[in-house]
Amino acid sequence: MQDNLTPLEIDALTEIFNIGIGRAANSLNQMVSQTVDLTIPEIEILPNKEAKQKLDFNEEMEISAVTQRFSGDFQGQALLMFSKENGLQLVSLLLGNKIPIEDLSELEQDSLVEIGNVILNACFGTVINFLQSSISIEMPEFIQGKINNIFTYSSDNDWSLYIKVKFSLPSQQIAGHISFIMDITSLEVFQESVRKFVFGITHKASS
Amino acid sequence: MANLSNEILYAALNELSVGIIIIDEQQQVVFFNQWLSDHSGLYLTQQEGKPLANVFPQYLSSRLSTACESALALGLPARLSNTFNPTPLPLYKKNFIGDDKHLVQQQISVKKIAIDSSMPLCQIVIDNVTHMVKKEQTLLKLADENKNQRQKAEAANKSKSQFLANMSHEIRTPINGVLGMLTLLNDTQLSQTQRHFSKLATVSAETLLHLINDILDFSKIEAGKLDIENVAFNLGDCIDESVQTMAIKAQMKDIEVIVDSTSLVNESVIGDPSRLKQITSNLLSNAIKFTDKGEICIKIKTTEIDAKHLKLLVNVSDTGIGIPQQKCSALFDAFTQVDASTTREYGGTGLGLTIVRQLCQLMGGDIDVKSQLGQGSQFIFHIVLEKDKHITPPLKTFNEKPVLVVDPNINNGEMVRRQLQLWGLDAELCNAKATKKSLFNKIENNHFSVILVDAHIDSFLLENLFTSLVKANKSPLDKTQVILLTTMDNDDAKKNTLLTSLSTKKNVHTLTKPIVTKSLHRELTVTFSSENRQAELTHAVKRFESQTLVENENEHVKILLVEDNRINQEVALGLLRKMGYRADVAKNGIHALELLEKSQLSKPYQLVLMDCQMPEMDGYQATVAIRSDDKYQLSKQISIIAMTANTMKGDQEKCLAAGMNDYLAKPINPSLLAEKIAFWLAQ
Repeated sequence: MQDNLTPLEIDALTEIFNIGIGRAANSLNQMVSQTVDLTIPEIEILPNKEAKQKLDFNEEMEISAVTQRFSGDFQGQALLMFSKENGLQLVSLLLGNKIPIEDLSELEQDSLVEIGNVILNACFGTVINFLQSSISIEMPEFIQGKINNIFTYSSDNDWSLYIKVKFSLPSQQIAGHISFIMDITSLEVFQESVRKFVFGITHKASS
Repeated sequence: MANLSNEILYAALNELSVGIIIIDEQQQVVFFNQWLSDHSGLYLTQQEGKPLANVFPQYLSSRLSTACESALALGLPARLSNTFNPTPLPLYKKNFIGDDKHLVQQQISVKKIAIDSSMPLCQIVIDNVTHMVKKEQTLLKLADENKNQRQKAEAANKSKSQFLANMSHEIRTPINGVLGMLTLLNDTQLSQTQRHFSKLATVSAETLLHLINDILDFSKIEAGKLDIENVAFNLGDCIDESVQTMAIKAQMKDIEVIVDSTSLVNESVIGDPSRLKQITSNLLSNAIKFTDKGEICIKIKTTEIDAKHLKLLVNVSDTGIGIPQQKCSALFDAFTQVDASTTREYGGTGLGLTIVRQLCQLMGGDIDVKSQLGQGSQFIFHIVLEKDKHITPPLKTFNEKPVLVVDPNINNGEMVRRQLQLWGLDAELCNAKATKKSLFNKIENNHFSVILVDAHIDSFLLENLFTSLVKANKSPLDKTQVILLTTMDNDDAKKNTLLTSLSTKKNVHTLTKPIVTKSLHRELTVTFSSENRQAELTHAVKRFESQTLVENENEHVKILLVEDNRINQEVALGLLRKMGYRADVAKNGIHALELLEKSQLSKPYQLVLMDCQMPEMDGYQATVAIRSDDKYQLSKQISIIAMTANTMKGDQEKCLAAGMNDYLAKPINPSLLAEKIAFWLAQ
């Protein structure tokens, strides 16, 4: 790819996603008794293959993920992933369970889907609001399995907007990973809208 | 699609078993289906066009309304899980409208309906998950109950073991009193019948103490209170000691006890010697109990696990009654013996092997049994020990000298021969039974430097053996040395006279069976140089002389006995009197301090025997006071020996930490008491 985003553009992207994720934290705090703080320490655009390696999950690990597909100006799949243990921990902390759980029951799975939905929606909302993109988004789904099961619907030729999410709870910090997987055409459209947005604000600032 | 009329669509939506609400951009009701009517008690005809917040007041600024807003404005779909939002809308079980006990548990999806032409609409789909919630709650409750039950059972079991441990400990105190009094009673003038009764009472009390000790151990293990020590000790010595204490019983039954430690590589180890002794003694005592003739063989072997650890393998085999194969597995369970009748015939708690197995497991090993009815039994156990950095030097080897071993027991003879070969001796084994003639020929024609003879061979053979020796030893300088292997217990009077007469000869030495490596080596060393033997004899005489000297002086020694229990006072005083000591008695710590302070001016005490648990002031407190308070300046250095029924690990440390010099466990062992008193008076 010839036109990578500049560091300034990446910074701007990180900034707007942090605003979005802050809204998600607000919604989560209204839902649960715990205080949750969400931050995005890093955003990267990289080939899907490299993004997969960045996840620090090995091939045998069980992963819990929430996914939403999207189409429109650009299309693909958004994934929020946790190691199974972290997912369990997050759910039981947010539900205020005293006893650690060994497996997610159907209802608890659904609560993880809701958490994922809130977070992914915040990201989608950001894209729609700031980048003026027009996309339509599908209902969230839950997937549990090894990394290859999670990435069944994406290929190594795809690209990924990789976002690391940190959940800060009073007692603990839990890391989650978001990947917006798109094909190269979609990615170019996406990057173009980012550039437009950044140009827009720098132009406004200088005039 | 052309045939699909609105009527059909309405009908289909109304038949669905999920709730559907459709709202417009202003969040006003466009449609809801029959399911929703059934569960809310509302009719579409009356509600159509009303804002949803008016229909359901709960909707106002709820998470559901936020979700609907983002769906309408941005097209973001939302999922509301039951766990975070159990009942967002007032929906009830059919026929129970308005009854809060019958609220429907909901799971909601919100999505924008994408139709290009018209205004945006939002669809709310409500799933009834009441059944699922109930099911999960029941499962959770069951799991909880299960866990509680298990915890309760564990706690009950633990407190039971704790109770047993406490009670056994309490019971030991009076038994100690009984045993002590019986010891004293046996030293008084008794008629034959009285002596017999008193002996029976002693045996019963000893058995009872043994049982209580077993139960105490067992319950301590169950309660997880038994700690394994880690001290440096010599493996060979440890096994030899436990074998020697048990061997007398075996020899009384005329059973041969063979210790084979030829495969023992590392002798210096770190572990718990007293627990190891407990295991071997227990197995030996079982073997002796269940064997009427033949032999008991103990084989020990060490193998390296890694640079730091060793595996000790011990095999105790006997030629006893054996165990039916199907009963072998239950052998290590608590309170089982092979059958009830065996229990009656052979006695025992049935706890012994359970304790043995648990001890093995605590030391990183296990125990196994191989046996067949009538074929004898083999108990094989292993434990893990640490290697000691300080290695004991191996026993010195001898220059190659011809040695003959004459033993009717092939296994024993073979073991001795192998041991001798390990020490560089040219050893030959001769089975005394089969080849008398060749034996004598051999002796006459060879220059054996040493002959080891089992004293159990018949007297005729023994005498002839010596005659052949005389023939072989033509010159007196070149005398063959003979080591007689005798047993501790010998009731054959005729044989005894012969043995006594033989052992007075200069070239005859005796060695008591069972043969353990160290004593065999020592005896051989002595045998190879007769000067050594002379020296040892004089040393023994000297030791004897000095002992008698001390005993006459005993009467002038002032001892203070601090003990609250009347019976225990009597026992201790009686024992001291027997040793020729006199002692004053203090009934608790305060009393003891008074006596000490008073005596300082006239004739101070030289030794204190201190009980630990006493009313008003215990032994620990009293000791601390003696050592630190200036009032007792002159007695500050006095030797204090603790006497206590507390035999838990750590008690000894507690006594020493309080400032006591030594420690004696009750019941008081008279010879140990004498030894300790003599030692501390000499300091």
